[in-house]
Amino acid sequence: MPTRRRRLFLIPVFLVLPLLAIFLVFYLPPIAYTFIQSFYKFSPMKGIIKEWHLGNYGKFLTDSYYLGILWRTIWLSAVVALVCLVLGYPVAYYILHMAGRARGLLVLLILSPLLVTVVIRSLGWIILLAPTGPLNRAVMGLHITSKPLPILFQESGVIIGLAHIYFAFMVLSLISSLQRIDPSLPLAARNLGANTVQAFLRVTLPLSLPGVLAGSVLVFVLSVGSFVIPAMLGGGKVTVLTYLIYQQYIKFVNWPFGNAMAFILLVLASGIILLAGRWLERGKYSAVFQ
Amino acid sequence: MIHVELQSVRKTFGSVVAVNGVNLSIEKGETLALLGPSGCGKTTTLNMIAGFLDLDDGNILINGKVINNVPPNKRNVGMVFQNYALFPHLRVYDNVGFGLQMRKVPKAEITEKVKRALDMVRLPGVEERYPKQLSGGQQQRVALARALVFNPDILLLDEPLSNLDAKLREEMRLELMDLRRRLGITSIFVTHDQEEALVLSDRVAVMNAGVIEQLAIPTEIYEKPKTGFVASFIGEFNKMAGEVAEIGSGGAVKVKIAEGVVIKSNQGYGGKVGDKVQVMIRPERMRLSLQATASDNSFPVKVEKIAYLGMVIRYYITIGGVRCVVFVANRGDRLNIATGADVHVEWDNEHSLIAGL
Repeated sequence: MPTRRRRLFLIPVFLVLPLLAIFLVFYLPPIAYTFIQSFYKFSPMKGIIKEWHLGNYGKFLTDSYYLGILWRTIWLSAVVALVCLVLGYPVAYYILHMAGRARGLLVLLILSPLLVTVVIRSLGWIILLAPTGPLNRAVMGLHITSKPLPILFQESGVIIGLAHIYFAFMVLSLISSLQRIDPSLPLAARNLGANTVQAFLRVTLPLSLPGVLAGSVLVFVLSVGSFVIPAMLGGGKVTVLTYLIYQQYIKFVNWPFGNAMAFILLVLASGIILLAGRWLERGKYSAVFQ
Repeated sequence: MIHVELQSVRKTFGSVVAVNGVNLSIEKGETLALLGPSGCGKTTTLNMIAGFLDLDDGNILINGKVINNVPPNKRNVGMVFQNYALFPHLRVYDNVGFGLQMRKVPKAEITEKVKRALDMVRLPGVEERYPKQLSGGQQQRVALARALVFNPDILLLDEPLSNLDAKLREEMRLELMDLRRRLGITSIFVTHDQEEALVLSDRVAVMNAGVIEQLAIPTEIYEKPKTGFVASFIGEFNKMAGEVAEIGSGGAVKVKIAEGVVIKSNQGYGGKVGDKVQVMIRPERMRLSLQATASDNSFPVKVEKIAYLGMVIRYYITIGGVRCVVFVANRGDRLNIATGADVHVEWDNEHSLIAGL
């Protein structure tokens, strides 16, 4: 029997092996190389010089221009996550209480933005949000404002574009979390004297926190790493970190500096996620996460 | 005094009629069991009393007041859910205290009442634990404490013991009986377990296909089932189809099962001679003996199979071509009867129940 048990124990290992192999071969070496290169020097005349220094990191972390962009990237992504959460929660809640067929259709509708490539989708938003576009014509036609709303090529435009596409990720993650809540729990709360709002705030919402966390992290990470939408809907005026990295790589060919920025972004984004997770998991409703 | 009343309560889900005109009156302090197979409408009825489902028709009254449109949080009804429905993210303290918190009871009083409720269900000192850290039986007690701590008017229990293993179930059953006696709270519980219903309730409502087939005290449900459904749902019966051969005075009836096999009863029959009827006899009311005695009913039979269950022994025999079973309590003086033995099966008149077909 021991050999048999040992073989059974190996099954999970075999199951993750293909993915592990892909990660080890195609993912880890480039990352490692990027990391190493972020410590190299660069000269516009001679290109990359294989000499170790911390200058790339120092340059980024001491320059208020770069730090400002880093800050903007982070808060922009956080706002996108928040917008998706606030708009997505009622939708997820509603979908969950719908009948089978209608539910499937609505989920499909929410996923539909993912069916269009990012460039086309962004062009669509540009047309829609342009100073002479349908939105502004409607707003001005109704005499709500006299001037076009400053949305396009502004942070708000970027937030709209990002929220539009990542909304689906938030809703799906909320649905899967809400689905796992025993339907008799809100009933029990009602039975014990809670009105619908109290039952939601005391029972349903805390129990859906894992979904809130997962959805927010997902949207945040995707937003931090997005490039095309901020570039197109920001019109070059809303510079985010990915755009800086792109510049360093393509325009200045300063790969070491670009790599350093990429790493700062990676570490910061992971750090924020870890902290947010810790904060929730150690909070009042820590039992939900066990 | 009537505490809870259901008047022609009806509930449909789409084209399915779940509850079809249920009438019930429950006295103050009484315990009523809603007993029936799954899908009979018993849980739907309970959910309507709790306020989780709207009625299609009829009225539900508590203390003489129609509560059809009173939301669940204003009904002051305690409920123990089948899966207990303890809040997994809250400690036992907050679970039990939930109803009091919602009623804005001062904190010190909550602490005191939670403690007393946990003492009452014999689970003191678990306030700081989470439901997951408790066993099934302990969770059940917490659920009970949570449902009782805010002094509800009535207590509803949905399959209270079904999630417990056999031993624990027996223990909780005794405790529920004890608790019921101590608190004297009007309670309604739903179960598909006949023993649970018979043991725990003052009256049993046997439900089938959305209607109450019989509403009576436990002994009457068992001894005098009113319909074929009640008879087949509760306990076991040997059923033999036959023809009424003779109707005498004082309820005496003779039913012919087969050539030479006539069963006597004194339970009366309202029909006429020649009617097709069913004779039903509880297996534990039949006896086996080696020699025929002066009994009302006595037939020579052959033991075909014996199932030794420990507490009882089941003997399988055939009467007039119908396979029957006889329960014999194992008193230690085991009848010296082996498979294939020729014996006599006997029972008294009053145990032959007659039902129309």
